[in-house]
Amino acid sequence: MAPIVFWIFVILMLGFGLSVIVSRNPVTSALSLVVSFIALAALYVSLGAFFIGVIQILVYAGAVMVLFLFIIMLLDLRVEIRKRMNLPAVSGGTIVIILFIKILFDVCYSFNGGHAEFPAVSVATHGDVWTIGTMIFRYYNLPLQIVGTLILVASIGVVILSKRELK
Amino acid sequence: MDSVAWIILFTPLVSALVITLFTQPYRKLSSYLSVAAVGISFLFSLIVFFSPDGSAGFTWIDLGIFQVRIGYLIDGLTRLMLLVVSGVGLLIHIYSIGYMQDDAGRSRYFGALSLFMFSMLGIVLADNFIMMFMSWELVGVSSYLLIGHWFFRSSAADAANKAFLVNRIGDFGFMLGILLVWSATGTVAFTELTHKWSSLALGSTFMTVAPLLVFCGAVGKSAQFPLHVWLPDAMEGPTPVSALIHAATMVAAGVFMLARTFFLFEHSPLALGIILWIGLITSLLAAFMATQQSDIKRVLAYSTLSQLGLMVAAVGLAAPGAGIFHLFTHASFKALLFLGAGSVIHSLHHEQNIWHMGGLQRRMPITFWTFLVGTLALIACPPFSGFWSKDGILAASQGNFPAFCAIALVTFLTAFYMARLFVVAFLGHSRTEHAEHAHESPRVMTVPLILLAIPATIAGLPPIASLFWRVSGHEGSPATAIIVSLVAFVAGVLAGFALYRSRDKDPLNIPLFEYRFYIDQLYDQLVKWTQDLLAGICGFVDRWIIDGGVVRGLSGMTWGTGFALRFLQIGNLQAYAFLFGLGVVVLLYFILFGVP
Amino acid sequence: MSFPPALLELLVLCLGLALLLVESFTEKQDRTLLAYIGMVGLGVIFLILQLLPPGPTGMASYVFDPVAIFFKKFVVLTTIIVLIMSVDYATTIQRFVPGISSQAGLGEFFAIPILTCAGMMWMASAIDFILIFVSLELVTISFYVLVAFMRRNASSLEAGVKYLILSAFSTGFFAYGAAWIFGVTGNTNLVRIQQVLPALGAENYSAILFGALLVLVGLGFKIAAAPFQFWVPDVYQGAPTPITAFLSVGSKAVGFIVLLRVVQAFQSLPPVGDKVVAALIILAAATLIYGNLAALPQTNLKRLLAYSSIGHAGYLLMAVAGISARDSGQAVVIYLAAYLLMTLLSFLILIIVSNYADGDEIVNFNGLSQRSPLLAFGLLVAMMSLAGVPFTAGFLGKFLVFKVAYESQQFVLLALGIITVGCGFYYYLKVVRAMYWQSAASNGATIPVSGLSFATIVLLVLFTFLLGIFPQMATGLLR
Repeated sequence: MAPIVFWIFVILMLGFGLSVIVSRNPVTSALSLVVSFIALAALYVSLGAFFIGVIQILVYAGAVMVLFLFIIMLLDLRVEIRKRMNLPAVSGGTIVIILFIKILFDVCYSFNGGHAEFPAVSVATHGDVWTIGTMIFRYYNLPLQIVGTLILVASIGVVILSKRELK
Repeated sequence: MDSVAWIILFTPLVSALVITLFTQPYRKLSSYLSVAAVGISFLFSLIVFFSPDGSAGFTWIDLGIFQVRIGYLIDGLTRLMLLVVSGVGLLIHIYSIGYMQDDAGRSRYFGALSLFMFSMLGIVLADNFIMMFMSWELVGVSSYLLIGHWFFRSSAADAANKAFLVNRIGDFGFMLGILLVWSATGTVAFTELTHKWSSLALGSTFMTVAPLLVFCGAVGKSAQFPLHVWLPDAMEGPTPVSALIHAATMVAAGVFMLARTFFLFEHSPLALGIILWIGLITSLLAAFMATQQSDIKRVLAYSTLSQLGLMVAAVGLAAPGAGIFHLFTHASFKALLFLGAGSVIHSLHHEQNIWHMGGLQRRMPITFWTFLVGTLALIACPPFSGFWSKDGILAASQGNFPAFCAIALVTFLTAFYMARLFVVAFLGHSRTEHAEHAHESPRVMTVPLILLAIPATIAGLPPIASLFWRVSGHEGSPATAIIVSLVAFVAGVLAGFALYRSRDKDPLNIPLFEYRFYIDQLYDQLVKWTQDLLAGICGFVDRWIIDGGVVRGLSGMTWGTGFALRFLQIGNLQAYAFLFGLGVVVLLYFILFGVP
Repeated sequence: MSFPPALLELLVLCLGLALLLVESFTEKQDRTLLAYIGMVGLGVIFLILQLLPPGPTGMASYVFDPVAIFFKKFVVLTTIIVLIMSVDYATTIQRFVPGISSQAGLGEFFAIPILTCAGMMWMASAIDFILIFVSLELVTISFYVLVAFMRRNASSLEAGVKYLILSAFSTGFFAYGAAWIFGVTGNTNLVRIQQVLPALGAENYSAILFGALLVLVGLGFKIAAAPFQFWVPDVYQGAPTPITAFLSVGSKAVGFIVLLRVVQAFQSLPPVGDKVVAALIILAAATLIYGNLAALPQTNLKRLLAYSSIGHAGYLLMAVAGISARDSGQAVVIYLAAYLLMTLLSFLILIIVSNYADGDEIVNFNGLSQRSPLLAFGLLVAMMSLAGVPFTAGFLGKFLVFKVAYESQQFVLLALGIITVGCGFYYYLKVVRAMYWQSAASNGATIPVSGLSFATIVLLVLFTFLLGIFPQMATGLLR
């Protein structure tokens, strides 16, 4: 893939990601998140991970976001009341983030100044759906089951914490 | 053989546990259990007495570099002490059934008594310093419990605290001593130490300091000057406790320990000299103090101090055998005297002032005669047991003239104050109503008196003593020692009789002696000063460092953060997240790029 | 008969699910019955664990070694005691959970800890980052629910939100770190990682270290190590007390087993392993200082215990930092065993007393020795053990930790440890002083104690002493 396409999607993803945080309107935030997810999916596809790209769109951009939008509509959330911009808080957070990114860059540069050659990702002979399926259902079956439990606990928790009157 | 020693040691512990956990409400049962336990220990001690030497043990705590062994070592010394401790203990347990008849806390009392027996036997049987030290501490705890048995009397509670605290001072030195010895030799087992210590090539300072620190333990437990102040106060406990713990056994533990670890001392003449003079000073001071006390138990307490001083002095004279021999005879006659005093106190409705007694020889004949036996033994009247053992110490001191004179003086004073006590309390006419209506104590109390009177009379006689005394043969004493001792004894008794016969109040008035050389006052003042100082420091630390520095620092931090947060108008959570993130970044940066 | 050890978690899971089902299909039943069923069920699991020998499991990501068995027993026991506490705490829960019937929500309050327990048991066996991650998340998510359980209590809700957000934060670090490690080594399995690491070139070192440190951050949050401990005081104080106990014992313990396994894996590459140890030393020092100093001015027992739990994490980190010493793992295990006994004991008594006195300030414990000698004695033992008085389990734990620090030559930590133990005496004795030297305020009546709690207190006290007096018992824990 041409580097220019990569950079376009990266900028889209990060720009709309930023917009999620910055925008005051919840609907705008949610829709920005959709765009950010789609750009991320495009990056997956560009890496040859078609299945994950599709899932990213289906699950996150599709199901999760629709749920978000529904909730926002149902709760009738208004535009957040404008708070005064508190510079120290923002700058504090920004400094931490910048420092973290700085460290990240330093670590990346330790790979031969960022020019190290990595071995190519082995492409499975059966396509990535087969690879992922084998991975999840054969090698990582137990974690999958645990995720099931996790979701069960989470849903019970949601009911407990949000139902108006418990029986 | 193996199990016998364990039975001796652990039966009282089982009894203490059972009493504390289960039989608290059943006072009678508790007392019988306790007596049965010490009875078993006594029987098995008899078996051990006629068995050969031996030792065994197991590792209790094994944490690699640190091991605690529980083991016993049976030799002549152990055999004798086992017999003394369990024998005297048994009689005093029986006596206690009568003496503590009306006490509501009887279960507690017997539980503590059993605990004491366990720990005391632990000291006697121990084959290493660690086990001895643990038992040593346990003895301190049970002594604390028993002195404070009547804790609702503030004097008893204070006395218990005093005993405990003063003993801590000595025990601290003891612990340091053990640590020094351990670090130098790498072992705490007595048999191993015996070999290693003599071949130790360390400076003479170390060879003096380490044993002297160990000696600190004995100074505390055996109430030697300058830590002697707790013992007279300890008489606040029930009289049988005074007899068992603060006369016959526990206070003798220090002397026993010195004899057991004598190999540490014998290479250091300086250490021996210090021990000798601490013993003699204690002995002399206590004898002077005893001449002016009017509480029957206090007189006995000071005489105990004085005799303990003699035993320690014997160790200092490099004659631990003589010290242990005196310990042996002293255990029986001093227990007898205390129990006799207890019998008098019991029948006089807890009257302890000798000037409120008098004329008891007809009303309490058994107590009278047995007390007389005890007195004669204590003042070294031939052929009672005390004569032989005191003579041994006197003989040992022959090469050292000042020590010899001091011991002779103590002998004289002992005879004097005991004659005074005996004359005032038992002879003459009754001075109070209680004394007039005194009656003989129940048989459960008088039988132990009679039984104790037997060894008090005969235990010193050479043929009998040699039966018991196999540690170092008791040679015949030189004539000078015998003569001096006899002269001192006769002079003391005569002076006592002359001064105190048919008196109603003390003709002598020596405040210095009566107020015990003002040592307690001095200590009180010292304690008060140090307390004030400590309280000042604590208050300072509390107010300025903990409250001011740490707390205010931390609350200042919280406050500062709060201020910053208010300023930034962000909630706590964001602050936490920010600090968290900052922590991550700093840690990452420091470790990735900071640490070489 | 060979019993596949991996079945154990499934049994626990089924137990939890069964309780939920029973809860939803019965109406009038007394809900505490569910708690009792749960305790018995977990008791059976404990017995099975006691009988199962360690051995191969046939799974690459799941081990059943002595350490795993110890921690499984540990969490099962913790859960049982948490259930016992929850029964005592039920009245408070009822007060703060809105519901039609008076027992609303109780069933879930008893069932969810059992599911959490299953997650913790998986963590004890997990040696693969993926399995570690999902089981860690199972534990964490169930704690979100449990911490915020008392909906009508603002501080409980607030605690829940704080825990949720900060925990998500730390989970992010953990996952990111694991991803870096996977990226460099091509493995998520700790055993494989350990084998692969020595062959890596020097250019990879800072990347591995970066990943390892991020994982350390994620785990540091779970075990409440400074500077990732900010959530602890607020969350501990706001959460329902049994859950606080569960958090401070169970969650911390499984955090430590994962930490031990991860740190051990990185020791195969000394340039990285040494720096990981350096990070642990910094964390341990910061945790010791913060936990013990901040505990000094506390007047609320629950908050005091929160700070003390931070302090104890510091001692445990000391032992982990001494990984080069032979007995490091053993010291952690024994310290945790002691920690379980004394912490659960204090929380159990705290629940009983605060239920009665309606408050968990230290002042509420004034004169407890006259009102309820047993409770006072129990708390006395717990405090002595927490402070590290000889012949209690806590002393043994501290002794071993200091020994490990000495053997691995962490003298700075050793000195800090000894100084902070002194601080510990100050604030633990504050509680003892209130119980034994202060006179009771108003209601001088004896505090009622249920039979089960009574028995638990007695057992905990007994084991606190047994472990202190017979340390061999503890060294046998890993066999």
